[in-house]
Amino acid sequence: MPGMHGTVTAVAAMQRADLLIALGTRFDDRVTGKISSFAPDATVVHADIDPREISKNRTADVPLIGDCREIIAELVAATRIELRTSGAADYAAWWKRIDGWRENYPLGYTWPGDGGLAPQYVIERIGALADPDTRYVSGVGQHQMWAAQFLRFEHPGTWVNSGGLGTMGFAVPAAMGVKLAYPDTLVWAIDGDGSFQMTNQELVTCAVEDVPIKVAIINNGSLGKVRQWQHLFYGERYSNTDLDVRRIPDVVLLAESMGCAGLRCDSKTDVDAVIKKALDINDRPVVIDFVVAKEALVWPMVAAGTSNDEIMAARDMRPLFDGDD
Amino acid sequence: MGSHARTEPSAVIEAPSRPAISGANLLINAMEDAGVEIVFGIPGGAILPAYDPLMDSTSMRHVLVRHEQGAGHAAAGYAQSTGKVGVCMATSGPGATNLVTPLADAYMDSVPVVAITGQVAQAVMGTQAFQEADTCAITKPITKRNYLVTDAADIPRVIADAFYEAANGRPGPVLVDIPKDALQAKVVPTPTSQRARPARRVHDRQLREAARLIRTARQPVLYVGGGVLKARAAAQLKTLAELTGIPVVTTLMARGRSPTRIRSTLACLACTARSPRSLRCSGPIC
Ligand SMILES: Cc1ncc(C[n+]2csc(CCOP(=O)(O)OP(=O)(O)O)c2C)c(N)n1
Ligand SMILES: [Mg+2]
Repeated sequence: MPGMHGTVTAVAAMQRADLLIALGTRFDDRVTGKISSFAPDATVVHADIDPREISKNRTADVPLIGDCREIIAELVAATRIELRTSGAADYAAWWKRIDGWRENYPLGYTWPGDGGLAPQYVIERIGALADPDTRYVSGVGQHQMWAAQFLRFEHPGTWVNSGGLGTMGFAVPAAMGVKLAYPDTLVWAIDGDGSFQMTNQELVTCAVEDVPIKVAIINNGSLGKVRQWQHLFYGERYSNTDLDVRRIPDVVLLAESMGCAGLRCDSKTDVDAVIKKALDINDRPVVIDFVVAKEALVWPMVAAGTSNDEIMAARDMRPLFDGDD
Repeated sequence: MGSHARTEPSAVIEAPSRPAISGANLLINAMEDAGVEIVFGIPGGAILPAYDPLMDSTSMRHVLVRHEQGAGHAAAGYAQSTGKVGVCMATSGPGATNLVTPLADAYMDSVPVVAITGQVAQAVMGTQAFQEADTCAITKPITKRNYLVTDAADIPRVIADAFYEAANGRPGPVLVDIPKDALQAKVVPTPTSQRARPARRVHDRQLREAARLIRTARQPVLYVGGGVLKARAAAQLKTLAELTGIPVVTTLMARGRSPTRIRSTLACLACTARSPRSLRCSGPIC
């Protein structure tokens, strides 16, 4: 995944590319970083169904306007002919460089120092204990980024989130829509405590209408993503991002009152057991309150408005900027 | 962009062969014809006439949400996961304004959603009537297209058009605002017509040039977005990635485009690698 919280490898590969084949994508600012320094040496082939997207943010050298399915199929045919008549391409050196980034900057996380639960671990375990058909929906915030990073997706349409608008409150109602479309499939909403408090009343709808979704609240007691910015860019002055004065609401009671099963987990040793318990309850929606460490940060990160070259793999670690990558 | 199309009053009077039917019934029939299975919404004064025949529909299920924002996001969740058009319904004024956030959300992520809103009767529109809001004006910049239906006879054509618009070309949210008197009027519907597919704009020369660039590049990347999922082109993309050996990068909106474990996907990283610095490998997620 490229972008503000993409992997070092994905961001680095795009920055150093000599050819970008952009398919059904829009050079969003969260992906490009500072646009003037985005993929400076790349020639751009851009396929999109909407002509207004072509050369909107980045000039396309070869525009392909139309349905991606048709265009990609035709590109395959044209490339077959090209490779047959003019010889194969050689990307061996490129892959070597990519593998170097992969090896040096894998996606990972550290455990919080205070003994709290690592949010990334919770998400990882949810994914590990689910079958590949499982569908995931997320809210907006740190938990969304960790879900995109640490879940695995095997099929199209199994990851549903609010990307462009970044709408907190998306998860619970959207998960309800997904579950109604696929009643026999496990549907997990990975939600934040802040996002959850915007639309959780739709759990009442889920309970009444028999839509048994599972909700994992990654409860860091804060508007974590905003807090992360305050931590990094506002001198750790946490203005109005704390949600957890006296742990109100009590999510377990709230869930129960809405006709759902409410569970809580705050230690690493209980994570698997609580998830399994949730998987065994199928006659009503289930909400798990995962009480996680407040301090966890989403890495890597490209600070808004800066160049992708300044991507931080972790604090004070800028692999593309500091070294010769 | 949302063209704010006020439909012209129909010139058709009574055609003896076709019986008159209420705008509300035309609406429900048109939604059934569009293949709608599920509608998320909350009733209220202006949309009430539509909720009456909706109760008798055998092919559509209505899910009574607790807030219209939930209706909009539920429709989007349904649409994002199935690729079909998601449908939500709300009354005028506060019902419609509660849909603003999910419509803006669906617009940004190109999600096919049709929203049907009640509007106050045309006789009082523009007078700050009870629960009046200019829904078309409010949603114009956050919908692919919106319609104010002024003549009940147009309802079947407009609904068919709205579903076409939402799903075709670049998908997106479409809103149909129907005044209460149009829902109540008994009319003979104007016939619907099929829309022509837009012409393709790709030329062989451009495809050949792209293929040449692929062959001559030394450091290429396939930068893949949500449009590939919407076009159901995951299989085609896999073929391209395998044929060329070009590394694939998937955006946040394209996660799930292909298994995260194939070698050429940079979305997740080699789990076997150990980081030399403080980062711990997170397990089998590549
Ligand atoms: C409706 C809305 N209001 C405000 C924001 C700004 N915002 C982005 S992330 C965030 C915090 C989200 O908190 P939470 O849901 O608890 O997720 P966390 O980051 O803690 O995982 C806020 C306030 C937003 N994206 N959407
Ligand atoms: Mg939070």
